[in-house]
Amino acid sequence: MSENQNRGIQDFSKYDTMETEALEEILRLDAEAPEGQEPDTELLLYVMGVLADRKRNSDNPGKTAQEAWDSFQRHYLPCGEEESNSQETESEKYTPWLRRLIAAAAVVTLIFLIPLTASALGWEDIWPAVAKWAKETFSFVSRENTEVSVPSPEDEENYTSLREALEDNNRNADMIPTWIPDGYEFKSLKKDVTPIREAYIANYVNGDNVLTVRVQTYMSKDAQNIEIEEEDSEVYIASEKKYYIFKNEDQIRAVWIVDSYECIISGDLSLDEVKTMIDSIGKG
Amino acid sequence: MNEEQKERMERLYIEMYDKLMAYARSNLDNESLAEEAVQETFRIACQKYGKLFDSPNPHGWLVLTLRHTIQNMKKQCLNDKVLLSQYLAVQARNISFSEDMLSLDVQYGKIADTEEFKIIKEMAVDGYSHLELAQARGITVNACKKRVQRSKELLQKKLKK
Repeated sequence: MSENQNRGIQDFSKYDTMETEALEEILRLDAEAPEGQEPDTELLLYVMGVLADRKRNSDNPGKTAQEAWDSFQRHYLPCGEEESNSQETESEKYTPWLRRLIAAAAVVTLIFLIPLTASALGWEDIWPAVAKWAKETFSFVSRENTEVSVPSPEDEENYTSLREALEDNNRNADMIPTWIPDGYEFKSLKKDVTPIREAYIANYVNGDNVLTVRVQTYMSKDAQNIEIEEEDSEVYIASEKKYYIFKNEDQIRAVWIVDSYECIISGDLSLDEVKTMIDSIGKG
Repeated sequence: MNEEQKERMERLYIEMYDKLMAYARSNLDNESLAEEAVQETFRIACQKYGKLFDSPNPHGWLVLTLRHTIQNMKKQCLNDKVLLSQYLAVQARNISFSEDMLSLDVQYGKIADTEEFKIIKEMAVDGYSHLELAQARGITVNACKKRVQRSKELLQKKLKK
């Protein structure tokens, strides 16, 4: 697992070498999405960035951003400032919708909310590259981030623990471990809120190793459709509750559901350490 | 927007322009329409400054707004083409057919030569942006938008007669 995947950051590097036409198709399909369907802006922004770089480096780079800004101020900005702020625009009329990506064919280890086309629409036949990507994103190694927010240092909150963050936001703090393996120290807490998901991500470090404990919930009832496939996981029972443990090379991940919350431990841990963390849940 | 807000908007604009243009180019027929979509998106962003920067993800907000803008542009283009077709069809009933084909061209030409027809046709069929139409007429973009709207209303009024 790459360092980025270790930290729960999705790896889009595969798009760096994808053909321009295929990248443009991704953007075209997004623009044709039904009203209210949330875009996967992390993916879109990455694809847009790749295309923008290629255009800039081409023989016909077009207008620079600064030139366009100058034109915007001359021709468009006065219009924006004159019109009433109470005027509703199309962008305000959408409501958060569930987006589910269904892999064309494959064993799915975890199903989260993933935007893009559904197999019911038959798009997997037209878009094999995306279907393949979808399969990979459902695999254990790359399923951490699914939502529209773009992480930034400003997102880190001034909490000293995950428990503090959950309690401060009136969330159940008894669904997280109270024990962390020796050597790990609390590093940061990020509260990541999007229109359809709220996530609390705590990072602990021990030298070069990073341990992440993540709690997330989805806003709409439709979005709360978390399913965990038992295949490829070890099911650990603690306090009459199931915890799913996935292993991939030297990385381990444990996932469990509490009401509408999805809880995840991930990092370079031993199986015993993960089980001890799980055993400490709700204790003190 | 005050000066500080304008500077903040400018930073976001510079940061996002190329990416938004990539999205717009993938969805629209030409560079000028793509630029129009992006400029319109930022125009809305200026209108909704508070909503944009209070959003947990301003970049995502812009992408979503651009998506809506493009969808609206395409819808409007289709509606305009229908309007033009209907207008031509109705006006054609008034054309007298004769052996003189030049006369026929002249008659059709008269229909298509009106400013209201031309401006809508240039936008919906020829794919010119509001900026290009405005510059060709020596008017502002805002004035051009109003002229387009008045032209549509005029054609629709003529259709109803």
